[in-house]
Amino acid sequence: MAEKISIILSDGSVDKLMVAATLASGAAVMEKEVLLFLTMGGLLAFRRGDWKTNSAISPDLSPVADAMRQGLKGDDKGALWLSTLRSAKEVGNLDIVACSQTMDMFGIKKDDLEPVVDSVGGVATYYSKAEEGQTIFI
Amino acid sequence: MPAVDLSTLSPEKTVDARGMACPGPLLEAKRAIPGVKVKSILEVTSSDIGTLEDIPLWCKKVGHDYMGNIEEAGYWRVFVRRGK
Repeated sequence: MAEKISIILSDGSVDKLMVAATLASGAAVMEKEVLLFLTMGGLLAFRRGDWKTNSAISPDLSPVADAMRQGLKGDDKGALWLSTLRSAKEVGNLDIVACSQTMDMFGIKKDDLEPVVDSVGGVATYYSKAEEGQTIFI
Repeated sequence: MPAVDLSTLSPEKTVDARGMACPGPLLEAKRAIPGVKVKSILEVTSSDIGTLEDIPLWCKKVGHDYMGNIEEAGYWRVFVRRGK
């Protein structure tokens, strides 16, 4: 049975999205069974088309935010995290689940989210899927 | 000195991942490996130095043979023999 890893993403700034996408895709390449659970800001960033305007940088990086935005310019690098997740799904076992509590709170429906999101689930879904695996919280 | 002279290898497939940051080259390698026959060679070109650590670890984890790399101007040619 494949090793499991679960990543809880609660922050929607571009730097955290990149960290989550890199860890999730790396785990998928290493043939782990990967769960990416999106909640709060981490879920809001997956609203359809949100990536086009999202240039939020987390407070940890505020001293170098301009440098980071500069580094992300050109090509489609603003959404590199999203294309990385799509690639991870193509080559491995990555399940992306949206938190139902956040969906309710903000009146978001499954169809409002990027198609890369597989399903909507609650806390029991998270624990059931994450069972016995390592967890990373972002 | 590697046991095999890498410059004499004939890869069945080459993927160009130059210009991609981590995890791009690793994803490209994973995507390409089913396209070569078992025991045949995949070459990945990468300008990301992390690839030189990541590809061998990936090979070890999932059962391919990392054969080594050749440094070129600003990038590396990384060789993997498909193991399974």
